[in-house]
Amino acid sequence: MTRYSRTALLVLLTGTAAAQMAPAPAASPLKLVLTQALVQTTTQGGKSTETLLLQPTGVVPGAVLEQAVTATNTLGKPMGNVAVNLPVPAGTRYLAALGSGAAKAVFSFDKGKTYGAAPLYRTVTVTENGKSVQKEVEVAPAEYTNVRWTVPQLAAGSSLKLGFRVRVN
Amino acid sequence: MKVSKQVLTLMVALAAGSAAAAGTPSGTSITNTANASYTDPANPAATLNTPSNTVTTTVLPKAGFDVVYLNNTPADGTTPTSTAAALTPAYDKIDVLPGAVIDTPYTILNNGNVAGQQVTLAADTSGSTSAPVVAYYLDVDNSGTFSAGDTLITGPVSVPVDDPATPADEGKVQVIQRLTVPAGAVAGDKYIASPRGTGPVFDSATSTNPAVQEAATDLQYTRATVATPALVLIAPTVIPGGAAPAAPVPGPTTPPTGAPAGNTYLPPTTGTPNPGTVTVVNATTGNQDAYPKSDTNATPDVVTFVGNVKNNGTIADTVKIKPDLTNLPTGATVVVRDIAGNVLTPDAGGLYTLPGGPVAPTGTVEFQLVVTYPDSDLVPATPAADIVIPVGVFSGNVPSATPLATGTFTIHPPKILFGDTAAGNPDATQAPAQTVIPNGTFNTTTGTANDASAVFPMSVKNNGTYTEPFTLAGTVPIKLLDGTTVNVPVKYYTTAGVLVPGGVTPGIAPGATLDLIAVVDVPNNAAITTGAAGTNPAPVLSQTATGNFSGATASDINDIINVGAIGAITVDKYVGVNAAPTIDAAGKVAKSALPGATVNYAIVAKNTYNGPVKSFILKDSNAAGTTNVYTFSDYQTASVNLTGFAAGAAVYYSIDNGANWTLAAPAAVVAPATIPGIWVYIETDGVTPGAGPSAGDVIPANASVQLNIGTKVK
Repeated sequence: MTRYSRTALLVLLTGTAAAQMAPAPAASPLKLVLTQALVQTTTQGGKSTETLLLQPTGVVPGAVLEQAVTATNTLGKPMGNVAVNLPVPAGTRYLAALGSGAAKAVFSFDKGKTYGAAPLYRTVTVTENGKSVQKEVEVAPAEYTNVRWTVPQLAAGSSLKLGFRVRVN
Repeated sequence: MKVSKQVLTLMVALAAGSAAAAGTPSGTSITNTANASYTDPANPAATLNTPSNTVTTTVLPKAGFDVVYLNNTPADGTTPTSTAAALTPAYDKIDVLPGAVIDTPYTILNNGNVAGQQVTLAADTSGSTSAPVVAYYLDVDNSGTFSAGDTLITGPVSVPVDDPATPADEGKVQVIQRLTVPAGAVAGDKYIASPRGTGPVFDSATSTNPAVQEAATDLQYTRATVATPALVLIAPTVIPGGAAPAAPVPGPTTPPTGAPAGNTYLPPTTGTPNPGTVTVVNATTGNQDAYPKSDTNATPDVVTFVGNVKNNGTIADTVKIKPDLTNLPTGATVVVRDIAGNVLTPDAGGLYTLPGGPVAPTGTVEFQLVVTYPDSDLVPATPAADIVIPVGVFSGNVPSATPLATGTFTIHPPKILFGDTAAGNPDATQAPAQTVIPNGTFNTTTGTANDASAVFPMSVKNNGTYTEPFTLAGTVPIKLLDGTTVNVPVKYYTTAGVLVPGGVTPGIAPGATLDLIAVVDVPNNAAITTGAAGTNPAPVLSQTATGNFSGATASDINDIINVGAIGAITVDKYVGVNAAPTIDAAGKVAKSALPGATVNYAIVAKNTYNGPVKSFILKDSNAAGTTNVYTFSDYQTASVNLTGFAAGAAVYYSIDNGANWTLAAPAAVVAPATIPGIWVYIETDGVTPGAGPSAGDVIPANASVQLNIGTKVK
């Protein structure tokens, strides 16, 4: 078993990642199932109750979708360096990640070019007193474009349930 | 785990929040696919990648819209009574004219995610004086104003959906609301309209998009307030005839010098005021009062007023005036001219538009009102009446049924009646006669006989329209005994006998009559009058009353003074023996005479009356004829001396008691014959001479007849 040291939190992916990776053969041992549910909140007697409506055919702007991906190791032996990528779909904005257990989540706001742990910052140049200065501003989660979870090893037969909630624009 | 802050240097232009509420356009598919990588179990250096299934869902319609002021300025949610600041001048129009078209721009926003959001516009005209006509147009060129290409909206407006990928907001349509102020709007009316949209709006409870009308709290009103014109009448810049004198009108109470002072009678010409007309202007009300003078002709009188209108409103306005002619007296006409004198013609409603264009706020415009009316001095017995002409001022901007202001132009004609005091009006046709005895006894009471004052009750009636004092004056020619004629002035007294100095009365109110007495003090040497004809016809008084301010005049020229007789025929007898008697007191002393002596008598008869005496016979015997000097003496001679007779007077004698008369003195009559006496008369008119005194044989005043008789004592 290859031990992998913790990689740097900052992972740079350049260009088209697909060129470096060969697609898995059919019937990949890492089974990925993505589900989508509409989060419906009802308030009764001051108490809020949530229900999830799976596979909604239509959602209105402002609705909350929960997208969850289950990655299952069907290899029969541990898999290493499992990374699960879930983009924030176009037409929505990121709200919050679901609990991910052992997996660590990193975020990108540049369509997956760079990832980092929250909170993310960007540098902007502003003019103060007639001079150009650079300031660091926090990137709001609503601007995240991609989320990635990684685990160093996924035991045989075990599953990772990862996901997030987004709001329809 | 150390978490270090990672800084990603990126130059990012943060996109401005575009219609965030709009949302992802309806129908958009939201898809997602996960992807995982793992170390290739067969090759630890390689990484394998696997995708997940794709999930998809479709964005449903979530409709929403709002109608707002253009560029959302000002904020919507206004009401018909919002302040002007809340509406801003762009949407709060003041000083609007009836019939005006008010165009204001609005934006219909698509706040939902539906492409082609349908919004139907209707006008909410709450708060309007009456519902105006409102229409909506697509502002095709987005100019914010109505232009030729803008099309009338007749159905729902389709508003595009915003494209969230662009910073611009595509989800809007610009429209124009056109509000038409009714042509019959009146000052201060308000015409208010807001577009109110109806269209699908998402209902979260049902997740449907039913049609919803904009809430009443979410409207965006345009308000138009009709101008309130303010026009008033003020004093003109020039008053015809000059400013009124400082003294109260009418004028002075002292008698005018001349006849009468201050009034030059000129025939009035068209368009000019009656000469001497005084016009009093009230600067506060704009009312004017004219006091034209009387004149000496019967042609219609003319008074010209100059009126002045000031624009006290906030916008320029055309001035119209309307004189009210309903109470104009018969035969009177009114012509309206502009200040230059050009005649103006009225419109169908009787309004005259003053030319020169609209008058700016605080500006003024003048006009002439020329009133021609029948001469005010005609028919003195009919009381004069004010000629009252109210003039209403109307706005050209905002027509109204009633005038904005009214000034009253009034002419106050004068009129006088003067004559003998009578039961009704003073009556100058009466010709009363007063008889006086010129004996130096003067008084001021009427009906006194045997005095030297002729007293006539006279009355002055002010039949004009304003109080004025009158000056009375008169004169009468009185012939004197010396043949000269003196013009005796008439004096005027109150009925209580108080002299009226200068004949000037106090002010007499309109309709009031002042009774006076006219007194002529006939001088002592006035000759007796002889009635309507004769040598000294009774004179008449020539009296005139004149209004001190107006100059109106009336006369009474027929009151008569009869001068009665005063005096006597004195007869004195003088005697002298053997000599002519002396015509003195000594001559009257009794004397004695011897038979044969000559006794001379002188009988002097004198007319001391103030007029001639007729039917005069001088006799040497008394009236009873009982004393007869010829009993004891013989008639010898007779002669007569005349004094004060005209040439040609002849003496006739009679010694038979007037049966026969001779021109020559009778011859002596010797005893035993005797005569009853000697009579003489004086023939002065030559008519039936020697027949005795006829009506024309008179002893003139102051004349004397001296009959000298000589006798001899028997």
